[in-house]
Amino acid sequence: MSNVLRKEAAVTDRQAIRNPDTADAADAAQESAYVLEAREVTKHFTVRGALGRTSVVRAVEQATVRLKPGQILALVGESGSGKTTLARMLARFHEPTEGEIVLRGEPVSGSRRARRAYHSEVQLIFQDPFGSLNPLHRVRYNLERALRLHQPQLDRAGRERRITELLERVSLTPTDEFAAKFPHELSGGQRQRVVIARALAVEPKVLLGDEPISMLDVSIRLEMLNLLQRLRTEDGLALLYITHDIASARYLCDEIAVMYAGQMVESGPKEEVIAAPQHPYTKLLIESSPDPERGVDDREALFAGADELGEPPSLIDPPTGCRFHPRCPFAMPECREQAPPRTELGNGHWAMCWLHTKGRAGELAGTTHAEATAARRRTLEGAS
Amino acid sequence: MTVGTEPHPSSVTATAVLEVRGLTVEYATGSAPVRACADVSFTLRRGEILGVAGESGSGKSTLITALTRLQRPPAVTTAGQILFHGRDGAPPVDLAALDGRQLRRYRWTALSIVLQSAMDALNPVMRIGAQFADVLRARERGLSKKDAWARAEELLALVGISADRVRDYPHQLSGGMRQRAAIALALACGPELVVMDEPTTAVDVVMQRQILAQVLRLREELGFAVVFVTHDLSLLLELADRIAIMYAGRIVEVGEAADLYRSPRHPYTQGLRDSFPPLHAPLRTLRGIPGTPPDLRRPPAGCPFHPRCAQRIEGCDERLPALLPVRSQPGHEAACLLDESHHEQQKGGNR
Repeated sequence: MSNVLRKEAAVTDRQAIRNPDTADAADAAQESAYVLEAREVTKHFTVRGALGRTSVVRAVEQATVRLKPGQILALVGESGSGKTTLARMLARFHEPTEGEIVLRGEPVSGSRRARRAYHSEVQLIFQDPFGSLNPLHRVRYNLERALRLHQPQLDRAGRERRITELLERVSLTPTDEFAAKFPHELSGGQRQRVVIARALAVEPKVLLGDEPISMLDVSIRLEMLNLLQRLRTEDGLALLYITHDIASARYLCDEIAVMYAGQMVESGPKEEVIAAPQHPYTKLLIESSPDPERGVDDREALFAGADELGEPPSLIDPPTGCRFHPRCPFAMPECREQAPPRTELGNGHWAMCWLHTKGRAGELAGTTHAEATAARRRTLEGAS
Repeated sequence: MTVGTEPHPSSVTATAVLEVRGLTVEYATGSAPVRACADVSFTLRRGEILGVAGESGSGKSTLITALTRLQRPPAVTTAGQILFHGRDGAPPVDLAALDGRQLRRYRWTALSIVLQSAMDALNPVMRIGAQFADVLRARERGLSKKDAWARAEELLALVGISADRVRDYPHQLSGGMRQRAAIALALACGPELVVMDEPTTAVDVVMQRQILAQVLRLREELGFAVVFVTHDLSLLLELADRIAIMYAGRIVEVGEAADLYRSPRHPYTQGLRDSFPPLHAPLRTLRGIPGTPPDLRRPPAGCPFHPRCAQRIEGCDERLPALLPVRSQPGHEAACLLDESHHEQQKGGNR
């Protein structure tokens, strides 16, 4: 822990030196405890149906994300939960409908110049390494272009030096050989490393990785996770790791935030969230994830009651109250009527669930989603 | 199914639904043919779930299209047999040797397939029920349209899709529902064997769990066998009875899921197993497998894994190890010179 703090302090110092116009260095240190924040951001998309009817997709509602230097936050949830939209707001591809994006304590503005300055600090890595490199140009050109745009002070020789450094950084050696290759000559893992090298070319403070390993072969995913881990420890990068793979999130990150149907439902230190989830949806997600260690001994129990787990709701007409209530085996009348308040559980762990305000949170630990669903069905049948 | 010992050859025919022998598939492109599946042999027992795990380029998709005879040129099956044993006890049929017309007798009723993307497998301009009726009425000439639609509703109910969805078009269903509909469709004519090609890759973990639970339940009820192909070994460890690991077009190891997880014999299997971080067990740094799979246009000499193998010994770059039974574990086979059965073979004492 102290190690992390020291790292943070070191990074903050560096930032203070780089920003001489900040009047008070101590102030800057305070501000940059978080390098990038999304403060209660909401994104609604208007879509037009085939018959000309418009409807509003409530993709993200009131989501808050805070990234610290040298820290990795995993954002997990099913597809359609809003994690990519949130990342795109953080990358400024989408303007939030409400709320603001804050870079080192300063809300960001929309001007062109501000945008470029922003992208020299915050870089996004996409899922598909095949689609994100220009296929007509060699690796050298792909990297050089980022350097020309974001490091105009470098001359030709300087850029060439940087390219070598970057390729070494992502272990693509011999660098000369890799710089001269076209993207199609590289494997998926090598391509994704070029994408990461290009993101690093601008010396960002924050990397946003939208499922950066999900299209890679299993045997090379670990290399990529280890590389991201190294960038965090050695360069003090802040990383938002978006994934649906909870085991890889646990391997890489410090904290986990869980999204469901456009809302953040729980966030906290990874081991706490995984070992003792405090929201019924987190619980369902973790119980559904494959775990080789849990293994092969009792398959019956592993899949018991998993026949009907339900599906996420439409974001055009989301459920009232807590959006998880139609699938939740613990749902109470208030869950249908009112969105749950956020309950702080200490140690930076919080959850948005009525169970906590009603003193029923203990029920989460003693059962599984499937068992709780079956028990609820029995009660309902008994009552009718 | 849970029998650990390798059955006696005569009992193989009694319990096996599919016997694949020496299957070799080549892509006839360019100057030299690319051997995407090389000398693949395995036996699938009745009602068993055999998982096939491998990375991209390992030949797992080639294997599936060859098994189901759905391959298209330039892929050609150049050697091997795919022996199908019907439940009627008739003599086995070599699916690899049948022509298109003869094959039609086996499609849907003996053998069916679930593809990775149900969106591509279902006809986008036909109602779900009509697609079921099509399949059912092609097999059962006398079936009325009305009865076929009623049967479609029953089949959808098997995978938890309500009857009113039968008149929907595929785009009106969610991704998970489409995939479940595709599974129900594959089961429409009561096949003995269902081949599943990454059926849960495009859906989320919760839906994945749900689909797998349904497959397990339906297998229990209907008794079909499954060949389940995926890159996700952690999934197979929970789902499959036995697992075959493919690398560079060959099966390098096959065994019961628990044996493969606890004592993998092939270094590639070990590497693959250690590529999945645990969800609850203590964390340690995992390395994955350095390097990349070989280019099958220029496969390395000897064991195809040797350039990436940390445990390679003398001879690995020269001799191609055969898939041999592991002595201490019945039903477990591995193709690695490190395994003791290979030592004996080397000395000429091929037990």
